[in-house]
Amino acid sequence: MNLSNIPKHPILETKDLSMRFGGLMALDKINFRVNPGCITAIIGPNGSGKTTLFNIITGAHQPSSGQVSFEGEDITSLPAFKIVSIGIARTFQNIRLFPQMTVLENVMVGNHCRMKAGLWASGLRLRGISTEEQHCEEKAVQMLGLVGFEGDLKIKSSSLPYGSQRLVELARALCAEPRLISLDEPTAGMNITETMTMLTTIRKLKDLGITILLIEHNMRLVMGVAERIMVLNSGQKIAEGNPEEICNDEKVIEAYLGKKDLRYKVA
Amino acid sequence: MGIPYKKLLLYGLIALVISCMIPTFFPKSKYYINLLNLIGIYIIIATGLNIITGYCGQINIGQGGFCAVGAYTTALLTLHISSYLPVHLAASIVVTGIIGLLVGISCLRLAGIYIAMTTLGFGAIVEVILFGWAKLTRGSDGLRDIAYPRIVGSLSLGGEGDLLYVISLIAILLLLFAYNIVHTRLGRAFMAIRDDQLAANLSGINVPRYKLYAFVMSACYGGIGGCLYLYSAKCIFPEVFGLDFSILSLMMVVLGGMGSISGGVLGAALLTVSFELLRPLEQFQMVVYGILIVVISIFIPKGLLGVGMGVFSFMKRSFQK
Repeated sequence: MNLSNIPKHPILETKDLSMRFGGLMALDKINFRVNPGCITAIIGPNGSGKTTLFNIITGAHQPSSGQVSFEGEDITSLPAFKIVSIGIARTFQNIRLFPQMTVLENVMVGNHCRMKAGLWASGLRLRGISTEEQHCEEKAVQMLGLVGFEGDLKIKSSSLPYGSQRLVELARALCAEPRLISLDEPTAGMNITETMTMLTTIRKLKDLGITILLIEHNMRLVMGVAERIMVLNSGQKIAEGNPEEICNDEKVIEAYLGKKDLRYKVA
Repeated sequence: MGIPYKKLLLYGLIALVISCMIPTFFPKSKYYINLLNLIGIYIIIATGLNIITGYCGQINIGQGGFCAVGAYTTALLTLHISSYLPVHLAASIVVTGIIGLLVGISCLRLAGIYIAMTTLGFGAIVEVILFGWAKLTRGSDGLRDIAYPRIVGSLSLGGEGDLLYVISLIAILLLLFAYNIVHTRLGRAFMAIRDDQLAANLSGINVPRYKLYAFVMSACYGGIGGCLYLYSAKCIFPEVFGLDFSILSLMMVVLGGMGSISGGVLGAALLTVSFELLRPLEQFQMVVYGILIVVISIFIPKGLLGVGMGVFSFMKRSFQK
């Protein structure tokens, strides 16, 4: 591993992060850094704590102990909506769009934290409101274009096919102008073509300077796109490194496939 | 997309002109003017309720409570302190706004049916207080013979015709305000909270803050409606804005079309008019009215506006062929 490539200041860092649900240790003292401008993947078997880690980073859960810092600032106890405004947006494993709102409105909600209009200004339509609204709408259309969404922007988001819903969700997250975007299984339920498009989109985002943190089960995607990978198993970090190192790591192989010998020796 | 603001303003002006011409051309039709006043008042109340329930998704079965507070505030002010309309409006807005904030805060950590129960309880508490605090409210005797308010100086409202001007103007301004709100950043925040509270929070929306905005707004609309109702009825009793009324106003929103300002207006107007049309049935009025509401809600779950839009787009398509 080339140590000189690692910048001194990670964009996101967790220190001894632990999460306990009753008797279950969902995360156990995770130390983890995400370098700016990188695509970092978190992999691990089901129930290994990947989504829990995401939920803590984005403020949906409070950790039992430990610290999360973003660009050097402690964000552990910030409420979720503030974490979005300082620059971390996310998508969800099971898509969470606003079903009764149109595609365009859904994406425009993403821009909420970048807008200023208050109650009186909106209600009385004071100066600047129309400009701000128009700017927000343009931004939303632009983001939908970026993720490759094609279709009617004025239909309810619940009537979209699954793959398109994922794109809309991604556009919504991008509309918040994040510096770090967390994608929770962005290709779950997608076919090969859609997966490949998503791969291209993720690379495009990287080129725009957005740091990407990704949970993914699709190994082909992970190995193809990720620059660094962290492997979780039963709430513990068992490996971290570039894709090659992870492929050859014994602990990782063990976590996914089981131990080599033991079982068959008995028979 | 953009908001058709100029078109909207035009509609508003047309509505204002028409409603203002009615007392000029039909000076003797007191009944119709009173009915129009009532429709205007219910439109205001239903619009407020639409914001909290239709847009923000918090079921409010206590809108009557806010209306009662507005009406009693105005009545007490008229009797004891001041007879100026701007003072009444400001006081109603402030008092119901504060109460709305308190009710909103107590609902913040609740969801769905529990909010309905809390607001229901609020409505009941208001009614009980109005009955019980007889020194101030004269209990079940109510506050009667409230004179028409003065607007500025010695200029005072002369009758229901003048009141219609005031109500139309206030209703149109409040409708515009609500329309602007729901079609901009705040409205999207309300709808996002209604559709998925967690996703709204993780998309950067300060959920408690916007819920409180919605609660206070709907309470203030209720308060203004109550204030204007008092002018129209000239008296107020504790049971006027009781549970019946809260549910009726909720029906206006649900039947008209939740999450649509024009739906709420349509619901308020139709329910008020149909109630009057059924008056000849005398003691069967309430029975038929109830059945009517049940039938509509079974067959038109999307609200009357939904049907209207469906018919409209069907006709549009037929013409295009």
